[in-house]
Amino acid sequence: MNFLSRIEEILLLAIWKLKDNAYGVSICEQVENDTGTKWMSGAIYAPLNRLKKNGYVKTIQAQQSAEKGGRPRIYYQLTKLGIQKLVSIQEVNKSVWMGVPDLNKKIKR
Amino acid sequence: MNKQDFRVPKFARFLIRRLSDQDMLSSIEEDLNHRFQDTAEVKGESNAGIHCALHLVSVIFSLALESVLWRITMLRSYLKIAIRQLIRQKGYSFINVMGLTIGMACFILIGLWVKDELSFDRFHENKDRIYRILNKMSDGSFSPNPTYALAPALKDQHPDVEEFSRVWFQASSLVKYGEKSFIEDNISMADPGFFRMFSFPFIMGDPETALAERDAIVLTENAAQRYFGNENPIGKVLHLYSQNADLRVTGVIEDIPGNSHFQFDFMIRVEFLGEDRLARWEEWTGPSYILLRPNVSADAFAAKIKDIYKQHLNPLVTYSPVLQPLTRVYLYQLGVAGRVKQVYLFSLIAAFILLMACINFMNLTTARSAKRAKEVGMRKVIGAVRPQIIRQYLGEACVVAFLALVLALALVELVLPQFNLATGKTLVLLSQANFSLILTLIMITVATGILAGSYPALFLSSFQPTHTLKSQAKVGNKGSGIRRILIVFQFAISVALIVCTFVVSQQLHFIQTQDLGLNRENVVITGNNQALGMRFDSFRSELSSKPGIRSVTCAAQGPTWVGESIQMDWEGNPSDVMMPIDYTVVDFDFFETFEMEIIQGRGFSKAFPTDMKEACVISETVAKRMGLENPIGTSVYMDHPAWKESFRNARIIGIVKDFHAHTFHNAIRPFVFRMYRPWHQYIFVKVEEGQIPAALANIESVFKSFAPNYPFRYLFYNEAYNRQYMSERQLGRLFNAFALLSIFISCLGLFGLASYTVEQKTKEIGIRKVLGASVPGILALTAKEFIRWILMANLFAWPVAYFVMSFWLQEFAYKVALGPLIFFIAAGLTIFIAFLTVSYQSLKVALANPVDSLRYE
Repeated sequence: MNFLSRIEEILLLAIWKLKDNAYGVSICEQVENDTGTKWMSGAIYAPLNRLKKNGYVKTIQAQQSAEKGGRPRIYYQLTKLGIQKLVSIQEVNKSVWMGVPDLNKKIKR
Repeated sequence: MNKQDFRVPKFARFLIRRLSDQDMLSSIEEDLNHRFQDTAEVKGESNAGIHCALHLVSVIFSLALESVLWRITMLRSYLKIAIRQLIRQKGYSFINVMGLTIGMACFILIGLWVKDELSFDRFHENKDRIYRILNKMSDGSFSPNPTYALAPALKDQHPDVEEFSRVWFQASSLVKYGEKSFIEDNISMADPGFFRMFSFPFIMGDPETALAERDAIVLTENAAQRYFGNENPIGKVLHLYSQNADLRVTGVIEDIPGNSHFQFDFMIRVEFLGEDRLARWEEWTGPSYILLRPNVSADAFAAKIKDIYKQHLNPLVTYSPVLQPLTRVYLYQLGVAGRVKQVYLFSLIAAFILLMACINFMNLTTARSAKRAKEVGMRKVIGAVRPQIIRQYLGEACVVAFLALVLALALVELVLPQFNLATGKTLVLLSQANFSLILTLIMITVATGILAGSYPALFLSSFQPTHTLKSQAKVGNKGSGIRRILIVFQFAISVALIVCTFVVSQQLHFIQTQDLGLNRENVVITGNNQALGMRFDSFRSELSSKPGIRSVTCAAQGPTWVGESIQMDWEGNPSDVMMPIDYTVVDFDFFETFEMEIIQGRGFSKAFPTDMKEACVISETVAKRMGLENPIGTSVYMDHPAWKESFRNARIIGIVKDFHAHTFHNAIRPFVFRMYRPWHQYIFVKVEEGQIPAALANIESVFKSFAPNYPFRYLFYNEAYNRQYMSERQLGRLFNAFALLSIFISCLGLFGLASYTVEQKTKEIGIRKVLGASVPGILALTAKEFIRWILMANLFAWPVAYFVMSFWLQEFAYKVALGPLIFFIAAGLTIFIAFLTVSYQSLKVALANPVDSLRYE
């Protein structure tokens, strides 16, 4: 199976979490929230571009109300392929982590 | 919502669109805008701009990397081939890379210089609110010296003015602290507002209150080091001899950066000029600056104060105050385009030289590529498709261009100290501030590479492999038309630069040798001081008796750098208007020292003690304008505001021949001399030719015996004179260098092309020789064509050069004529050099044995 890179995985999840509200700024914020670190724009948009090229996400234009500048905003959505991918990643993750106890507790003790 | 948006440059938008798509671009733009506004609130707009630019670069970089990553393997192969090509054709590669390197190095150097010129006074935080007040005359010209009464009055009457400062530049004085004393030339005077308006960072002390007290003095770090070493300077007392005042140090500022038009070591209160002088509305005193409150429009404010002189003086005053933004002060020194002309000129030259280098690079790359048609055929046979071949050629050209860029940066680093010396700047290449310059350069490099590679890439990749693989494929002559046009263009630039160089150096020569109406040879200048001034007559008589000394005098200024203007009226003046006139004050023997010719009457003389009070000497022009038959003895009135009423009246005792009291930029104006000892700042000593060392020793010993406290410093008048033409001399030097470089670059190109052409004609020449052609005949055959193109280049270049140089010469009231000779010399020179270049190549072939060149391979 074709694995995704970690950032790609994080991005897919972020878009999934944001549902109908996934656009450039919100995705960046979500990723930064999830990971707790600042990201350079390049580190977000290049993988996002890759995901789009590979057909895991698609973009939708939505007209903005005039007060927000009137320019159309681009929203991101998972494609069917993207959702399948997330499902399979979750399965793989589960099986990889199977039988591993909470490491944090273990090390502390 | 914030008004300001982060605008993504067009080029970056294009790149992103190419690397991904329009949707991605929109997302990124929105994101950057968001980031910009978030950051701007916390850190200010300029920081936010930098922050967003970094993000933008990271996006482009990552996207680019992404899209190239999979091609890396091919890229390595291209790189390898590019390097092999470079190594295989060492000569051409050398010419190719060197031309581009030199062109780029020139561009970087000039770019650094221009950037520095444009950065003047931009480090002040309030730069957008500070204005200098100029007086606008009725004839449209400006004077930077309004009355010192104006600025305080503006602050009192208009709430729009937040702060003001009058600035008096460069007084000099002996300064003493304890045992240490030095002569200081960079003492400026200002109001307490000075350090509140301008951002000169304080190391010690408080800018708000630094000049609050009358006896305050602020000095630079460097100056503080000189007097106090490691002591804490704050509160220490310096003694200034010229003001006879004890001043308390209240602040130490960092050394003034080179790109400030204020340059001073010490700053004291402007009141030292004299309270009456500061309050006089009639006098044009010196530069004044005001700080407007935020959101006050300068135009509206200028309209408000338009009539202020009329209110304070009289309704007939013809001049009015105008405001000049601080950031324009340096480049528009006198209110009109000054230094900025040079900035334009050099930017133009830099662009042209880079263009020439790029053209060369393109020409040679194109010409050489024809040889590689077989390689292309081979690649195609093996299975390369057209886009791959195009990419390969573009990549190769880019590699070479980048090699040149790296070499150019190294070269600049190498010659920068010399360049700094020649231009009097302290430029550095590798600093954060030059990031944008280097970025521009990288873009230019890529563009050059792509442009140079595009012709061979597109052209060669279109061949049918069967066609190119046949041995006699004729591909080289295609595109030679473009090459010729480019060569003509290149040489046109060279010719224009040569003409400019000649004109500038002729004008400089003219300035050096033109009769000034006075003799400046062997005149030594030294500073006057109180100790000497009090006993000047005995100083003069003692010094004059020493060997090697011809005559001694003193004056307020040297006769070639006078710049003060007053009005003069005279007995029997037929009109109501007084004559505007330049003046200076001088001592006895002044005309003898400078060998200025008295054409009527006499000069100031010790034999007439009344000369000190009531005599004046006028220049020839004044006499002509007065229109009197014999002006000697006529009484005149000079409305000098600083003089007592009784001293303003004088009698003409003599007429001196016209002389150049200003630089050659100005026409000779009416001039009058008076005696007024308190103002005599400089001592001039004419020494005997051939006894200069002895004379200097004598001057020093007499000087020391009269003024033991003062260090003895001297300067020859010639040096001082040359300094007046510093910018012209710099221009001359730079033009020489650029003309040389441009010729060199175009000859490199010509050399490369000539060798290529000759190589193509090897067989033809062989056959001609077999049939009996002579060596000179063959030489002429190859050279003829090139020479025709260069002649054409001359025809294009002449009008351009003529136009540019007439423009430059306009600044001079006295100038050389632009004769045809210069143009012919330039033409001859280029043809000669081009001929040498071409014939070296053709001679090699012409002398070769036809058997070798006709051999079937």
